[in-house]
Amino acid sequence: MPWVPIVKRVIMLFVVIIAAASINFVLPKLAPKNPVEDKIMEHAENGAQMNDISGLVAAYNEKFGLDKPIMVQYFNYLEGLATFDLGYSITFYPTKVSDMILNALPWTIGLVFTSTIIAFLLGSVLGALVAWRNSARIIKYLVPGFMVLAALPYYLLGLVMIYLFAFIWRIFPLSGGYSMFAIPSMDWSYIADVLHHSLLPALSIVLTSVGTWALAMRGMMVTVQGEDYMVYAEANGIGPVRRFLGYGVRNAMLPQITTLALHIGHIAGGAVLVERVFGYPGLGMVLFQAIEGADYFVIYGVVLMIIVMVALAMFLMDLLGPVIDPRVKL
Amino acid sequence: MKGLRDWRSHTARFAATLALLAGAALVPTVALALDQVPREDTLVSESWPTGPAYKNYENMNPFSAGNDLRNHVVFTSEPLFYWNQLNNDVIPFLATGYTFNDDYTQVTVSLRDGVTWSDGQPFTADDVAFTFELLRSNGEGKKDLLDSTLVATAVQSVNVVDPHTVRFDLKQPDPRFVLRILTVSFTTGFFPVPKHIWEKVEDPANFNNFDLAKGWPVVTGPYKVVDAKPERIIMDRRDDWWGTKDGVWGDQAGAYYSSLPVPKRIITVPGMDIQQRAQALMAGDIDWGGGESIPVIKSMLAQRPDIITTFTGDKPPYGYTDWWPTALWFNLGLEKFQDKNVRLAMRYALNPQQVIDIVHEGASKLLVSPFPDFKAFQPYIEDATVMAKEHELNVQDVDKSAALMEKAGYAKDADGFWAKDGVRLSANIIGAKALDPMGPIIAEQFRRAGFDITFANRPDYRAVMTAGKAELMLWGFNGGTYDPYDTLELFDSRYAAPIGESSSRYARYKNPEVDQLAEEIKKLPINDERIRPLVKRFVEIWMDDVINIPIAQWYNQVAFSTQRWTNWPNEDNPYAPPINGHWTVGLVVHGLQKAGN
Repeated sequence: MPWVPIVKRVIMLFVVIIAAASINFVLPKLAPKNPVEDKIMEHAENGAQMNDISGLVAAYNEKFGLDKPIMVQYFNYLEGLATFDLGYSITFYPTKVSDMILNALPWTIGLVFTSTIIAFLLGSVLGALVAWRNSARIIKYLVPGFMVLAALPYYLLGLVMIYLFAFIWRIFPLSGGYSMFAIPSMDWSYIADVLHHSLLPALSIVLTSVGTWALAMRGMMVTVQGEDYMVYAEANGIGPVRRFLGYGVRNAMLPQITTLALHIGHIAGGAVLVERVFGYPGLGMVLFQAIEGADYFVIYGVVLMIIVMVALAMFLMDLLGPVIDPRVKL
Repeated sequence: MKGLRDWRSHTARFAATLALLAGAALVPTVALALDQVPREDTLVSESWPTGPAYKNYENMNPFSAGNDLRNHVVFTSEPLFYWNQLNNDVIPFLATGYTFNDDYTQVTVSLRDGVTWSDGQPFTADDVAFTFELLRSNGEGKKDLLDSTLVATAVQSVNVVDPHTVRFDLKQPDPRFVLRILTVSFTTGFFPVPKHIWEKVEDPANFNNFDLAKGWPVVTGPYKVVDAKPERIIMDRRDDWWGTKDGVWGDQAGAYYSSLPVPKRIITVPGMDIQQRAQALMAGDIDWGGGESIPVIKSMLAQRPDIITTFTGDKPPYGYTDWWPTALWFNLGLEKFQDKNVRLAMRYALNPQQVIDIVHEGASKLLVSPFPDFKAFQPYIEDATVMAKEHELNVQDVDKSAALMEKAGYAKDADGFWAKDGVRLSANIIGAKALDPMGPIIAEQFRRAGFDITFANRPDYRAVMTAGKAELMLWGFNGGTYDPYDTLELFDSRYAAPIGESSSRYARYKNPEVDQLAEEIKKLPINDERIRPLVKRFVEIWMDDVINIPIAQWYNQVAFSTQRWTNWPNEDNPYAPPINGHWTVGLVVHGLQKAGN
């Protein structure tokens, strides 16, 4: 085993995580908003009798350690990350950040992860078929359609779909992860309800990203088809299906899989705008609300997940690259 | 070929992992065995916090600064007293009455006999004393419970006289104590908590008060929380509610709130955007909507006159007066607004009626005083109406505005804006999001009169206003509701913090005479005839000093669906304030009737 490059990459993994986590600490603090004050004044706006807010603000600043010097806050933050203690949400106090992430994560995995994989598979196959000389003519006409959709931001397509399918035709629900009368359980009616609610947001992600995957794959397949080993395989009488999958797709897939790894890393953040537009209760929504309320600790928690997942995905791709393509060295 | 086999094997494992993850995502949260309750027996109410997901759905702590009681607590908990501003009624609920001593430094509260908590324990004076001692001691110490400093400022000690009597010893004479602290109205007041649960809690601020397995939250109300998720909170009726027992209501027996509410289940859902809410109401998905805009209400009434109604039916103002009359507030800590002539000139530049006509489509009233148009304020509003004419309140006069600016030493610059010593009088307006539609109109009126005023609200408007960094603010008077004292207190010099220091009194106004008037009113009982001249003088100062520029009364405009539930409060039968954004919703659910019955 080539241990030295692996150890180097592990060290690099930690350096990347610490550097990114440090930037993550600073960025939300640059916002002019004081989350504690804002939350408390929200009560005043709703009518609470806030004669003396300074005591309450001071109490909560102390509770969250926001009264300490910035460097002390930074080291407390790093210590929290090292011990997996993400602390409490400021806006949703006393809810723990870890609980918020755990509650939202399954929704994001269900929606964004599945949609990304579907778009990846569909786009890669379509892209490969478009470039493949012997594929059906209809395939050639499908891809331009997807390319047009790819030019649209997915949240915009989402809005159009909500307007048509939920607002005008009322085929799908306007928003949410499941209907307000549904009781979460393992029965089929609930599962069907969840799927019904996820279809529009999932479609908006799939439809707008298939074209991009297909375009990238088509480019790679065109290159691959000109390689000597493709000519050699054909000359040896190897059948078209095996040449397509085993020689063409396999060799063209590497950049696609690297991109997929990056996408999967970003899934932790959810599709913020899609979840917002569709009112989907995933991590993207948690992040959106946290940014809206300058809820430092929730932002730290969710962004840290993105950082770790992207870094890990890249790390794994580094390790898996040589397995997928022996030409790649560690 | 080995490489290809390996690759296929990797791919197969990868696909299997994906399938497992996707499957896991279908079972996102706890699976609870809840009874299905027919939609016809369910009341669906839209909460006010902005959706699409609840931020604090597992927080049932009524004193938590991170909580919004409107999602759940207000349906499940009951106060000692409710106050209904629509008919000026104090409704004893967990209490039956109170008596003050002669100098208003002690109040003795009688509690209702027969009240029980949802876990079967009796509700007694111990619970009340524990609740207010908890708040008082917190207000004097950690200060991390909501409004605990309010209790600490007022209460010296809370004493149990007997199981159904509790005595509050006050730090100073306080004739408003019962209405201010012990009564729930709008979004103020306190709900007692069970001592036998809360006395074991180490850190009350860090207590969610939510554990369905333990039966928490333990409440006295006719509903209990049975499920809470970001998408909705479900509360089921407790048919063993104490209010159904014989004899507990005494001379209140037979009142609409003394019987078990008809809805078997209440579901609250997070606030929707205005179009989504209208669709949900008209489609029968929800029965009780949050705040509406006039055009949307009109549209709903036109499309579904058979099921959509409001407090005033299909007639303006489609709601009832709120405690939040709207004004344009100056930050009086800023040098540029120190000159009264400038403030008066700005008042003359505005045309509040035009704002009402455009934003409220005429369905509001001009403000002649800083008070909401409640029954309790009518004598003060009568006095103010006369003074408003003398002071030309709500009168737009650009010539007078110009004369006052010249008197203040200003002249118009090359662009036609008022400037002094080469510095233009410029300011930006920010404020409550609900008032955003007014901003551009007001800014344009100012600009036409030569004031370089803009409207550009910002998401952190609360923080900016609290820190004293705002210039002009669109905001409401969240002052008195049963009596003018709280309105005077809004302008108390104690809260006029220097710029940069936090204060919830955004005007930062200082006037020893107003402080003195407030102090005198504070000692007098509500409705004492000596209050009226003192208030009249305050209103005169408010007009003379141009502390802010009044714009309009604010209305709670909400729509109800009668498809499943009828007997919503209305102007002919205002049995409770019918807005689900206030803490008096517990009264409304008692009055609802099933459609068709």
